[in-house]
Amino acid sequence: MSFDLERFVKDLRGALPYPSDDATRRALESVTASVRRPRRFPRRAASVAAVLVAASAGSFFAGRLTVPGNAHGAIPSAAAFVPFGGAAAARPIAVHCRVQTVYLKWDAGGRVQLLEYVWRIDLGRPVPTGRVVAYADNAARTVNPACTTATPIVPRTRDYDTANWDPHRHLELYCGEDVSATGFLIQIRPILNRAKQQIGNRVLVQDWRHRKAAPLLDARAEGRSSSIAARVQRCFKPVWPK
Amino acid sequence: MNEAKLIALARSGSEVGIRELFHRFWPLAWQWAYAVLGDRMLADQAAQEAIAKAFQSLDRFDPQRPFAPWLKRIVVNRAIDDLRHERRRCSAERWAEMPAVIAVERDGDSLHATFEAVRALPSNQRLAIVLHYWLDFGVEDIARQLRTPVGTVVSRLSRARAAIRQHVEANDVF
Repeated sequence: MSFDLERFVKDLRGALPYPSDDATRRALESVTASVRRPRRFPRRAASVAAVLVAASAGSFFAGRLTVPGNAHGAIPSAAAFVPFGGAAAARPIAVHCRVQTVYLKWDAGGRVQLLEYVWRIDLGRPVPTGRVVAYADNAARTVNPACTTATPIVPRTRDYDTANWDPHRHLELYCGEDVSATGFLIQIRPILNRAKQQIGNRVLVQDWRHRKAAPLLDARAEGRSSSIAARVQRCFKPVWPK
Repeated sequence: MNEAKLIALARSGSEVGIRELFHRFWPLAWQWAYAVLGDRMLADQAAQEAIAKAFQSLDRFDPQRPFAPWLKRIVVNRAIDDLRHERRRCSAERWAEMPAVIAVERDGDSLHATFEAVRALPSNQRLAIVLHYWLDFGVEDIARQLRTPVGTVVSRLSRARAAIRQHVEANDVF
């Protein structure tokens, strides 16, 4: 038996995958923005942002929470909700992220992304920084290493309405930081079936300074049911052109 | 356009130069990050931040030297930092997308056995193998990046090679 170990180990490099178009686009935006604007995690006056967020919240009442599912090429698929067979039950993730605005994108396949946005006073709307704060699907949950771990919370009873949410449409929602500018507690908790297999995720977004209050955003999605609740003064549907 | 001219163009703030330089090195930067982290999402993040940092620091780069090794050092440093925070993440299998590519290679079975052997290594040995064989770092460079003695790196590589050989021979695919 002969085995050229070094050659085979080196040959494995050929199987390394390539970056996705989405990651490439985000990275290019980040590079061009960083060359023009070298500061990291730009933070504008949170109080101004909060005023703008509050002013925009009215739009939330005007429309439904959902937007058409094909806007980002998301294809509704029941297969996406198939539990990750045999995987050990995942634990909840709770982190503190110092970001100004969190943009939640939850597609019909059950994949949730929390992206960092910052308010552009001159444009009157939030713009992406290219950073992903957190990502979760039925197989993996990851958070930005810039966020620090936090103690998971048990959410308080909400004092606002819960909307039905069609799982075959994708959801987009902004939640803005409050005037304390202390960022958010973000918690992703797996939803398990009786066999302890993950069938979905529950995402909570909470003001870091008010962790014991009811969450700003409480969204859950699993195969056949889903729901979302949000504090409308702080979280709202995007109304700007893409 | 050659690399030195492209870098000079990017340093002058030309958007065309920045885009061209980015597209030339981004796939490599991403693969370096993915090799270390083994996770697409983490690789996206680490590579993106590292390449942005590199472009911000272009003024400090010596244009007489090749760009790739300089960028690789920045990306790998960043990826190793993220790897240290790995306990914060719950992920599916490391390098989950690679077996599908390996399966269609000419030496698919042998490569797959080798891949599984590398994947099964303890994390510090696996990282040494990745840095040495996939990213072409010498043992001194690895020692510097991991802030460990050279002897430790040599020992990890040696143990890793023995473990890979044992794993592959146990699977009897050669």
